Amino acid sequence: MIAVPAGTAWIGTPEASLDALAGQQQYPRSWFEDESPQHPVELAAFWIDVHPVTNAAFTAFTAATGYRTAAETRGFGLVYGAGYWQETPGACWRHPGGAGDRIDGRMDHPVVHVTHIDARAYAAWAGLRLPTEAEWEYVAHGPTWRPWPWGTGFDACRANGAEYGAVRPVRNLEDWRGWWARHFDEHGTVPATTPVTAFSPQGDSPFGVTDMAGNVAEWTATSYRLYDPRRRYDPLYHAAAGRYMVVRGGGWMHLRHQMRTSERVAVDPAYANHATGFRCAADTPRTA
Amino acid sequence: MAATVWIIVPPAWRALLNDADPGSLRCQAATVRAALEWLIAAHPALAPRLLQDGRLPRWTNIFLGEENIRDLGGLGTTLRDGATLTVLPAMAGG
Repeated sequence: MIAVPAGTAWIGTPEASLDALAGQQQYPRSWFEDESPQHPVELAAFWIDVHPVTNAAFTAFTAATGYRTAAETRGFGLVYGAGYWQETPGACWRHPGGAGDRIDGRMDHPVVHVTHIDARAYAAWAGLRLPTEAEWEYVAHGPTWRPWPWGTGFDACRANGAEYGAVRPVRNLEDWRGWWARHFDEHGTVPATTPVTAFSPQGDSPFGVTDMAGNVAEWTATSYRLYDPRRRYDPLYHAAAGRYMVVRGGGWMHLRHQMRTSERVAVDPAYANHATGFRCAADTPRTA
Repeated sequence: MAATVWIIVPPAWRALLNDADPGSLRCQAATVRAALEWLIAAHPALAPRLLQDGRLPRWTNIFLGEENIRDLGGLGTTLRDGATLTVLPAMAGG
């Protein structure tokens, strides 16, 4: 784990950046309005995992406790199929792409197919907790706001997202559909996660933390709320407020704007898929 | 007995609604299932988002007022006159 000193975290995206973002992809500014207003949050010192929880670590947890995830219990997991999400029998953290896929050889990849409850169960076993949304974002961009952990310009070689290794530009939803069609033809539903240190140090945040953009989207400990409760946001966000939890960082199948340090996604805590994982935090480290 | 029910779907789904207002969809339905079947019949592009093999898939939630129908009677939940169903993707935003 890495120590993060106490400080003032500026959470949310500056107005000028939101304005610019609206012209760079398919959604209007209102889609990102829940990142506004940027506001200060005082954080106490804390510790955070250098990388997301791996398949190896989750294996140790389940071996020690006998824990079964929600996907294992219900017998199916969610993966993106040829053109949309699908409930795939046998898909779970041990078989991320479906029953025929195994994590053998991918033990240093992030665990996927974990619900918020699964993530909290792991954290409790490890004597840790999930990071709050503000802690997560502070670690991602540091004391000075920046849209990606490494700086102000996107670089596909610094994060595992849809553009990494893509043969054509993947800037918007239409591009993404073409990318996904090619990806699906080659890999099917097997997630394109990478070893958790594959993009370090070039993709690290100012605190030296890796995979804060891409690889897997990550659960936080924070219930989704609107930054200014008096403001009118897209009705979708009002409907999600108080019901869902915040997920951050984007994953291997996401576009650059979905991997920004201030990007917020509201997610049903019972949901899991093959692109969502987590990392842990602590008030004090387990070992000094 | 069928009730008059309002259905709210995400504004981001507007392109799938043939220009209908995602905030003012109304039908007559006795259960959540009947309301969803009406919605799919009126807007077939919504089908993969709302039902899979006749079940509500994990990527979509339906709220009756403040309650998730998974915590009520699922698709068989009965509806009263004036009920509002809010359709909410399990991942919202991003």
